[in-house]
Amino acid sequence: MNRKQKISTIQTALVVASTTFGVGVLSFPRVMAQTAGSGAPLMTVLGLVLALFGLWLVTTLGQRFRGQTIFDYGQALIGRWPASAVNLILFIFFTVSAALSSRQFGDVLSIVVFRRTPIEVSIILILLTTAFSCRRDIVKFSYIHIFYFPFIFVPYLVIMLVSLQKIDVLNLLPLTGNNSMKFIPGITESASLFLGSFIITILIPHMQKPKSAMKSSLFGIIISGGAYLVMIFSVLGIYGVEETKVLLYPTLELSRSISLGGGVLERFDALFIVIWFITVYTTLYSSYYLASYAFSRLFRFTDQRLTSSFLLPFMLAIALLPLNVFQTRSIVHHTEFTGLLLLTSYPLLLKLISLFRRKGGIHLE
Amino acid sequence: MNKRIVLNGLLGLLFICSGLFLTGCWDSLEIENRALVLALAIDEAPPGSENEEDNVTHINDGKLPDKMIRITAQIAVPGRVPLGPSSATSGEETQNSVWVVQVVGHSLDDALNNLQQQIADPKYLIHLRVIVVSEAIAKQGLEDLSDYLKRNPEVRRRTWLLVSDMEAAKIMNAAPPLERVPTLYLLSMVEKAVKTGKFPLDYLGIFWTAESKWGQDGYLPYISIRGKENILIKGMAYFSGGKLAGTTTPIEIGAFMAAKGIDPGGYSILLDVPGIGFVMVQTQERHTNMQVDIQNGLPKVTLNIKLEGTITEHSEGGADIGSKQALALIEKTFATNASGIVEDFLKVTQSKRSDVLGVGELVRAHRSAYWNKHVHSKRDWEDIYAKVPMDIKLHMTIRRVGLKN
Amino acid sequence: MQKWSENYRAYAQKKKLSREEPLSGKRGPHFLGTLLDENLAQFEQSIGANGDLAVREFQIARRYRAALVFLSSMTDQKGIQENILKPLMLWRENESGDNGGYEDSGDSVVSDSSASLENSLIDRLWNETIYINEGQKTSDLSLLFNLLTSGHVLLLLDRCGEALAFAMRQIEKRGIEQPQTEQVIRGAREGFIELLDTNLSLIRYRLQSPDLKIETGPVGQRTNSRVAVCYLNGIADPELVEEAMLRISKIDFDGIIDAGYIEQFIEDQPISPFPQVQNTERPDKAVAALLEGRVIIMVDGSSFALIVPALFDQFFQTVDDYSERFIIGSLVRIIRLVALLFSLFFPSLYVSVISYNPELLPTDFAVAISGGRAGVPFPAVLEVFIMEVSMEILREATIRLPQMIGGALSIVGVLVVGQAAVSAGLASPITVVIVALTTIGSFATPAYNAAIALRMLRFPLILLAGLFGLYGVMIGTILIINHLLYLESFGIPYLFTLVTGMRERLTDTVIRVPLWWMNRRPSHLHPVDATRLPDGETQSYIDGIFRTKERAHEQEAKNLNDPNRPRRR
Repeated sequence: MNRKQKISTIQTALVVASTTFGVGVLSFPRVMAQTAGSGAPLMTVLGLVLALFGLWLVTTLGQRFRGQTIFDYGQALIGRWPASAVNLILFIFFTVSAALSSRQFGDVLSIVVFRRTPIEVSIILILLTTAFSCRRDIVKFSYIHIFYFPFIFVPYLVIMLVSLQKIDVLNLLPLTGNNSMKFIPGITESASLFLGSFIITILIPHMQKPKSAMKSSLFGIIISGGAYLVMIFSVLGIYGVEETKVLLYPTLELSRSISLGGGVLERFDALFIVIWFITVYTTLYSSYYLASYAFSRLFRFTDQRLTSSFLLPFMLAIALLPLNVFQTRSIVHHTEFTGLLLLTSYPLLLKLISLFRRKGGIHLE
Repeated sequence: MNKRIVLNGLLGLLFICSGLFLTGCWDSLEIENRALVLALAIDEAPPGSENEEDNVTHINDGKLPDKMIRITAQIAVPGRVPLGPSSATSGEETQNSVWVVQVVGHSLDDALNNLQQQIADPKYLIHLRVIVVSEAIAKQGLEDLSDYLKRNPEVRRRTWLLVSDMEAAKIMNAAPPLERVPTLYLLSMVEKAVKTGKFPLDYLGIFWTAESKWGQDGYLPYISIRGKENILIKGMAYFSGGKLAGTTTPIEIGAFMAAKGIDPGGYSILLDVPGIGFVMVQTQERHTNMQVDIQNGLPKVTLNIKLEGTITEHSEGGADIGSKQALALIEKTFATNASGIVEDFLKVTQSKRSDVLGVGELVRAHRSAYWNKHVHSKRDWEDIYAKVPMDIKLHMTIRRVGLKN
Repeated sequence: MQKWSENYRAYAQKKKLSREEPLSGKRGPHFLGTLLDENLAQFEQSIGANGDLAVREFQIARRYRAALVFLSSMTDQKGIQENILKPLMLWRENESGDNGGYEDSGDSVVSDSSASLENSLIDRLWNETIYINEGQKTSDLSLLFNLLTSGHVLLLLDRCGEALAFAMRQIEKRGIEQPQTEQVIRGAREGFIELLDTNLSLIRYRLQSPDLKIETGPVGQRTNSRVAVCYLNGIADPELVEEAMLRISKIDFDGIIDAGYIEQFIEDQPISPFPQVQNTERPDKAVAALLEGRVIIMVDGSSFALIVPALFDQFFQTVDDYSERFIIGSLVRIIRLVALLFSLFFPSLYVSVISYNPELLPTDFAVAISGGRAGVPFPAVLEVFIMEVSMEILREATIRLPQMIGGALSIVGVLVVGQAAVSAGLASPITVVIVALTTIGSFATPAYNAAIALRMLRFPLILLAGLFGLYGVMIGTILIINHLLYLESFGIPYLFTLVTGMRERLTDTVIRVPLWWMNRRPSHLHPVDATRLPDGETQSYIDGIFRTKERAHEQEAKNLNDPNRPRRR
């Protein structure tokens, strides 16, 4: 039974979607309301376009170098040592971003649900759960994403649909916001939501039809971007800009204020946190997987199981570094900005070099 | 292969151990060990209550605000409410199904801490359904109270905040015989009022949202006690700048709902129609179109209210109402009458600078240039609102007259 | 028949004399001697004359000494009399014309070796006298022992180095009954029994196709159980058949008592609560599996057939689903899914709602529940845990009891103990309801092994719920689901139908569409021929729904007369 399983186009799209729909879900509308006012949906779309550009670079590179990930063809393009250095930075970035995701998760949990449980416990638990599942090959990795996909998106859509009738269109107007929008922070914030789409680089070599990788990444981004958009529409539509700015986790508030079945099912926040847990888990899973993949590539380990367990204490240490919510927020902000810069400029560089070399006639494939 | 199993096993063991040893089930607390606060009443503390204070959260050194509040909490007593369908003798149980505790404090949380000092089980606000605030507290502003309630994740956004015209504590003690738990009666009363069109849906969360918008002000139900333990919605309490600005009569709630176009219609108007006699007309549906134009440097509001109604009663007159003309006459009388009520209501809110209608939001959304130029704080808009000219057009269509011809 | 005291003496003496190793442990060829008495002595010594070994000595044609050796417990006595003994004794050397020639040539060589005469005699006996279908000639002693213990009758001749073995196996068997573990409302009432041949015949007559291939062979060093692998040639994936045979050939265990033994040797991931091989007592289910392209493994002595590969959703499907109307079948499957979720999650959700998130309950209910729990001394975790464990004990206790006592006990257990526990304040009424629902829910899963896996997994979930509330339940669920996603059955992902394969997901997992809609075999089995229904037929059935009656008939008639009508490829 040596039939090698492959990932189909739709499955790749689902992985990208569930990876990019992540931790930011809870606080994202507040951030956007702060930077753009009622122009938040527009800002989200702009960020999405920027994210798509980065994704386009990574996908076309992956298609050009069949069967290789960015960690491999980077070495072929810019030489072994420079590429190793960049790979190290990539590894550090994914480790930090995975750790910060778990930290943000722990923050929400200890603010909303477990107010007396030490934050370490919730962080350790989610990290352990993730580390456990990082010991799989990429096909199984994609299966996990695919299986959880409906559990991530359907509840959000239900919440959005239930709240749809309460949306006040006035809150969404004017579309460009009342005050001038802060474009740079706004776009980077919203583009950094989609950083996880970088996962496509390790998926392409395992795809049935690598040619349609572009289609699937576009699809994936549109699914998660669409979900983000619907969410920001309903949060802003119900609360208005001013109230959204005040709320720490506007989406959570939204789930707290709806009811189903004539008040029998009220207070969705506890359930919502549980669903959100899956959302965080899949995102964290992707960055953890990328981190351990990068690590095993960096030191040429063949076994990823070991690296994933090895990374665990470091993740935990990084996750526990920030002292309070505000510090976490600013560290996350900086990391995301750096990540956006890194994950856009490095593929861009590679792309340029590959274009240049092709003209030079060096055949790399 | 063997090594793998051992590794897997070790990781699994680590997992289980971390589960068992790291946790002390910190947050686990059985439902019966929680003091579930079902309702809160907030009053101004009577003079002299500084001495009653327990100094749980501070040392009395005179640096704290003089203003003190008194809260009355209804706490569910486990075991008093039986599981399953109620027996016939539930009347006497209602007396004991909740425990009413009264404490004073400088702020809401201070008072709640004092409360915790008095009761054994940890208090939980997870089932807090109703908060009643006395008129005096509302006049001082609800900002401070809201701050605690917004911060605390236990509090639902679907809690009802009510303003009472008397001491709020009295409402906590009122125990109508209909429900097993008094709070739930109060709750079902307001919620049914919403369903029957007596009051717009106005949870705490909705109030907060309205209050935080620059171009709108919040409103709350205004309740009172009649007789010994009958609670009624006496009107609407509207706010300006976070403070209670005034209250209305019940019929003005109808006027407000008409101006906002909130369905279902529930209010009836008793009309004296010339030549026909007294006719009771109940509104069924409301459709409102509100438009804003900028004229002479001021927004001008045009309200186009379309109502549909039913004749429910006709008294004092042998006159026949079963004709087109009579119906048209009734509609016309209703329209003038009702638009008068709406106009008066809006005039009053303008004079109190309370934009409950949300005209400002309309300006912000559609006339953002004007808004961005003139409005830089909530107060700015409230000042403009007071001067806004209003044009109200009201049209009534009577579709049904009941079974009698 | 010897007395027991003599038995004992003989055994003790033998033990002292020779510590010879058991027969089946002997390796390497041993050959039959030429003297009958020696050979017989060897058989008697090895197997024990006092047991069920029967030796019948007689003479053939009044000249040749011969003996029949067989195990009386495993052979058809009447058949031996009629078909072996009688013709042998009646046989005369000079009956046929060429007898003389044989006699002559025999005379000329008899001086060289009388054994060769007897050897040619053995062939003649086989060719001319014995009325038995199956037999073989051998001189290998260990093979003879194996044949003897598998129910063959051995014919030994004096002065002959070879023996004839006839298949005269007759085992007492029970009748074909309705399978106890997989009862159906509508469907065949036949179940497999312990005898492999009967079981194979049950399959054969349901699947009368030359494509049905059955490969058999012994497994188990000592038991030598016959294991059969059945598959449909031209449908089943050759790689799958190969893999199944490879895995069976690797088994080197001393005894295969049941199909479950085989299962443990061939499954992909032993450290898992979930069954990765499906078992069935129903021949119709086995045939359906064969038709889908799966492989059936059967063992002599076990009334269960193994179906590989087995995916998670198979354990929640019954034969009824397919024979009943598809709408009902689908609804029933959904109900089973709900029951499964009930049995897995209800107790842990209850615990987490009671101890962590009471805000999820409606206020009046919350107040009432806290009243119901007011007298219970334990935290909800412990309460539920105790009740669940006692429910499992009750289940385990009643499952082995005779039916009449079992029924009584379960009523006592459920009604009386439950009621008493509530009034004694040991458990709240809601807990009893939850526990009862859980147990009932777990019985709705048709496959016992899958049901018990999920039923046992609810205990860790209850613990996690007690530790972390809903969050703990979620972690537990994620671990379970990730494990399921990781599992494979013969290289096919366990949750394949749920994760990938749009068509399988839609046609035959939670929802069972009409049979004419399932025009393809499941693609994850990589069938050689995937077509179940010719292309276009499905469409014609769908069209048939929307066509008016009369025209439908017309169309049908036209179709039947059309020579170009697409047939099975």
